[in-house]
Amino acid sequence: MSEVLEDFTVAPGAPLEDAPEWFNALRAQGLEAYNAAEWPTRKDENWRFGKPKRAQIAELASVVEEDTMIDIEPAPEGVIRFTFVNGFCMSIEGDAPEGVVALPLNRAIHEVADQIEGAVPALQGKLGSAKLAAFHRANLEDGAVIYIGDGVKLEQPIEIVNIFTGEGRSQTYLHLVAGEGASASVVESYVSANDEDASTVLSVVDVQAKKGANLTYLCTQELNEKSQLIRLGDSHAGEQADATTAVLHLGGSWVRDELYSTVEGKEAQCKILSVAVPKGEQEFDQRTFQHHASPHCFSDLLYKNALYGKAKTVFSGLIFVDEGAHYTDAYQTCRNLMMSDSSEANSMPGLEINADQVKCSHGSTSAQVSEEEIFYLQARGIQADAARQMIAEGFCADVFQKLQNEKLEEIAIQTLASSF
Amino acid sequence: MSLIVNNLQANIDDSPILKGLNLEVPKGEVHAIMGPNGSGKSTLSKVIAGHEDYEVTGGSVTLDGQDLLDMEIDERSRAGLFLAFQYPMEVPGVSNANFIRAALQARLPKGEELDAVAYYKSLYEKMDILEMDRKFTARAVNEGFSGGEKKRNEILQMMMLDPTFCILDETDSGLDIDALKIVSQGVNAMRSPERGFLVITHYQRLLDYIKPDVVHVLSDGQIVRTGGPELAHELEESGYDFLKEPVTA
Repeated sequence: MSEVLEDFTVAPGAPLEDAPEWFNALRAQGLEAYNAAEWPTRKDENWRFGKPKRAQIAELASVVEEDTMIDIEPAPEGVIRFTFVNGFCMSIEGDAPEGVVALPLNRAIHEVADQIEGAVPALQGKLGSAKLAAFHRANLEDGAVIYIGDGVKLEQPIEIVNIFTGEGRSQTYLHLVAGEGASASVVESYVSANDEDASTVLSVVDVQAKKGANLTYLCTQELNEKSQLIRLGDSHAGEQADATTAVLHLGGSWVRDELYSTVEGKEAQCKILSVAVPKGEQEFDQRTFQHHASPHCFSDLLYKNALYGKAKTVFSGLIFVDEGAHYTDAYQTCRNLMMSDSSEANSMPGLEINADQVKCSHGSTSAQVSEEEIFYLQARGIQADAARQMIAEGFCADVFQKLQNEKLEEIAIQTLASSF
Repeated sequence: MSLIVNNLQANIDDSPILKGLNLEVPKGEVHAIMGPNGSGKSTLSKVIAGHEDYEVTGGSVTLDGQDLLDMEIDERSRAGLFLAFQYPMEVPGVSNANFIRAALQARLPKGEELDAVAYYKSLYEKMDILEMDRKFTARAVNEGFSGGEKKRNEILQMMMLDPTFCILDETDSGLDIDALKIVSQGVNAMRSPERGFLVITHYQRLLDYIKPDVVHVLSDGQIVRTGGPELAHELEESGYDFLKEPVTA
């Protein structure tokens, strides 16, 4: 380890005071795994067309906590909202109703220890970032822990606001579980406190929907253009569960987003959605894995990118159907809208099927805004540039209808609008 | 004050489609243009609207004295021209209400905001005339609409934008008789001494509902006959075969 790491409040892998033994063992194991793993290289299939050098973030000093005045409106009545600054929980507003746990990790390890021991974190960084996942584990200290109890149905989305300030590295963590027959939605946002600070954020997101649960998760990412983000996600839908995960990437100079989603148990289903609007020299690199572990499961992935300027995107996705996972229904679509001649979209869709009676499709397209569509809008008096923007915004907004959750759709579309 | 097309010539991919077309539609009148497939009917509407696939090689088009051919597509619309499309485009992810609102907003001076309450009041009134369900405001423009719904949506836009001159390009295609009646009602409600209409159609049927003042026959890029409403009936009975006969003086 380099000497910069001494700047940490707690060294990676070192025990946290007062933390239970199992938690400190997890941190120690994280450090061990980190030291044993190699940094990814371009030869790694999961980093093709990517920028593995930018993933070497361990050398960066962790951000020094600052006295930052963060001015946000109080959460409306009845809304549970976590506010994190540089990954540390500053406040939780609202009262969790009966059957719901909404705690920062450093309290959860004491207060709901039996629920989370062995569950945190399940994530291994299987899509090329094992070393980063281990590093995250070695530094695990705080995060959001949310359990929706069996049968509990929440109307209002739970909110998680992540604010980043100061130069350097920080990490966030979300552990979200919807119990059997539960129904809930969560919206997480990433914002920079200012336009100057170059933040490096390593995020781990773990979303699980147990038997018959209905869980919808939306992440909106609006970091400033100097920041970079590595986001490692895991979603798991059990028998007859319905898990939807969506992300909207607008900010950051470089974003690496990995999502491993598993459908396991009869009639499990998941929807995986993403919208990205990279501009200038922004680069968004997204990798996905749709793992069909049981028969009669459904998964549907839709990723859309609208690329401006010299922006670059990478999409690599694999539908993987296990042996015996018959009657799988799996879809994967990546669509790129090229808003400039100098932008670059790389798509690598893939399929691996080891079962019978399977319905699968995958595909990717790259196109410009159709001249006929622009003509139609112009013929209504809308100027060509505005028409082009309106079509691109619609192209993106369209994805969020699939959330089938009005509140989350509204939040996503409002956030998206800031980009057009 | 009117739409005047003078000796209009236009090509697509270097082949001439309009070959010196002359037409004058005074305000307050409804003119129909009929003609066989390939005669240039849709080309005429697109050239007037400014579609870039067509190259204007000669002639002029003026609306109330303004030179349309010198304007951008969107400027022509804001100058009072409206084209109801034969095949309206689908615009995924853009709600109908936001689309029409943007078109109206584009007509306002910079910095002036459309009054949302008045807008929706007006929108709902017009939708009622066209017997359109309110759910069409939130749906993406034309996406998943039936043929008839798309055409009603064109007429809704026309009513909202309140143009001075309307071109209906084969608005009757894809319409069943009930939809045809409703669409015609919408058009007839807009007839006024201040507004001109050019109704392009292949069939006489539409003209039973939107009664034209003048009927023109377009063939091979030129107007070859002009007459009253009875001309449409004559064409319905005898077809366009007369066009094949040599013209005798």
